[in-house]
Amino acid sequence: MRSLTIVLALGFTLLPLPQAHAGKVANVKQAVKEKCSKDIPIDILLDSVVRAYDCQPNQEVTIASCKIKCLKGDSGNVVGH
Amino acid sequence: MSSDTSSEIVLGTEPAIFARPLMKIAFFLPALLLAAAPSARADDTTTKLDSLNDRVTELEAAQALHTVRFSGVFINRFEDFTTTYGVPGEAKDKDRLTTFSTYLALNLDFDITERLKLYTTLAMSKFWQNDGRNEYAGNWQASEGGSFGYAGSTPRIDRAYMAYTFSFPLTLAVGRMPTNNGVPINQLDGLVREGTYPRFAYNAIFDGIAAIFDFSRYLPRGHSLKLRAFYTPNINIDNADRTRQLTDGTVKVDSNTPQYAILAEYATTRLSPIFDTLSFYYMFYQYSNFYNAGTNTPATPDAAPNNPTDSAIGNMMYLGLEGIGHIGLNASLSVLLYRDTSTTLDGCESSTILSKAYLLNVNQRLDFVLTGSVLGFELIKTDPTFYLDEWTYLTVIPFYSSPASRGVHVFASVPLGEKLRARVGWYRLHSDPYSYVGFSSSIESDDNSLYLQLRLGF
Repeated sequence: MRSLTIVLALGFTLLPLPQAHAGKVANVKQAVKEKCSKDIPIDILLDSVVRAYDCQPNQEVTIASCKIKCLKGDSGNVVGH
Repeated sequence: MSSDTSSEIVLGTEPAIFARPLMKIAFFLPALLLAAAPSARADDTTTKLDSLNDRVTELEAAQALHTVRFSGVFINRFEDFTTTYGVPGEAKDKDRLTTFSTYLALNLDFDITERLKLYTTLAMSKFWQNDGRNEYAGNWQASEGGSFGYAGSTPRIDRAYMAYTFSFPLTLAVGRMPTNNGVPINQLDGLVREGTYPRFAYNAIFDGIAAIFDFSRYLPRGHSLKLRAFYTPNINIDNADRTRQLTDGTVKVDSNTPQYAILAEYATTRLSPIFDTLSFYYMFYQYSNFYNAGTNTPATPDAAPNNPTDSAIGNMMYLGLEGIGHIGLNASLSVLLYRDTSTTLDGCESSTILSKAYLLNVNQRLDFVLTGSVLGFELIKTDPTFYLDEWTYLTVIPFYSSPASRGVHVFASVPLGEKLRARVGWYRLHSDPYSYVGFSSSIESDDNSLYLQLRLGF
């Protein structure tokens, strides 16, 4: 019973992350994977997503000791980009 | 509660009679409590899960409704500009302008659907304690300049266009588009591309229709090819009566003068031993019988018209190399070949002009000193017949748009935290006299400008 409760609680706690940031988590994981060939630990995922997108375009951001380019878009600066 | 009270009364009056049941109660009570504990924990867990479920639902709903993105740019500048000018061989005049200015742009972008997006920008620029300036000769300059004319604190819409992306590689856009602030402006601050047209083709805001073909998906990995086609006609109409044609003297001006542009962009990252990225842009543009309102106002009403119309063809090339030698060195060369045929409305005069102009930008990222810092320089050389349609710039010195000129710009940009950036730079420009139909100047000038700029991007 206790194990089931823990599993359910963890499930409800962790599941919202990829849903609330649909696509962005995958983008961050892929960027780190491509740049540094490493996987992001689940416990720093949320913080990583925020930092990878709350930055200046072209700025370097350190995610789990890996430097990637800021993933923030360009706000339509280039037509049809 | 009531049963407990009755037990106390009973126990106090006849203890012997109830001794046996009491022992049963004493035995079963802890057992009942133990049995009830998991049930209480389950209730507690259910409550927490319900709460979590509510919070998750709220997050998902917020995410589903989160279709607006907010961003912006806030710039404050100091510029110390001096110019010495006059007819060659004669005494020179000198002006000095020490200016402070502020520019603000607020972007609101809407994801209408997954494929349809609306982009807007509300912006203003002003010199401090100075409102109501107007440096535009005609209404088309005001349109192309948007908020960049240092007119004051009244905001203008610099961007309002929607873009629909099809499932095949085509995007259609219509509205007021960011055709200004193109490459290599962004490299002055080590940023990504900030505008559509290369700055040495046009640095102005245009309204119109665009079609963008992205062939990158058909190319090998690391190569991209895009074609962007624009139709941006100029609308001439009576300033006070929208049912009337604009009239110059006695000649009625066409209400719609066509203007086209095609921008082809190729980029590759597959030259890794040499560069990080190589970009080559080619842009062709053309406009026909463009009416220069206000250039030459008739001296008397009903006099023969003498405002010229221009028909021009431009060929612009941009070669950009980023990450040369993989040491953060970037270089780009912009070349503009421009030919103009100018004719007065009475058809009396015309001339064909070809001009050449070059802009070299070299900059080095100094990440090993301070991450994000940039040091660089620009060189410019323009013919006497050079013309750049530049109306969206924040410098006082007309460095990028002066004919018959040679100049240098040295700059250094450093980040101050994650979103603030400072740039200091020095411009020097020498311009000779020039003369051709429609535009002329008999003076030569030497300009110097020292500036400091703080840029907040958010």
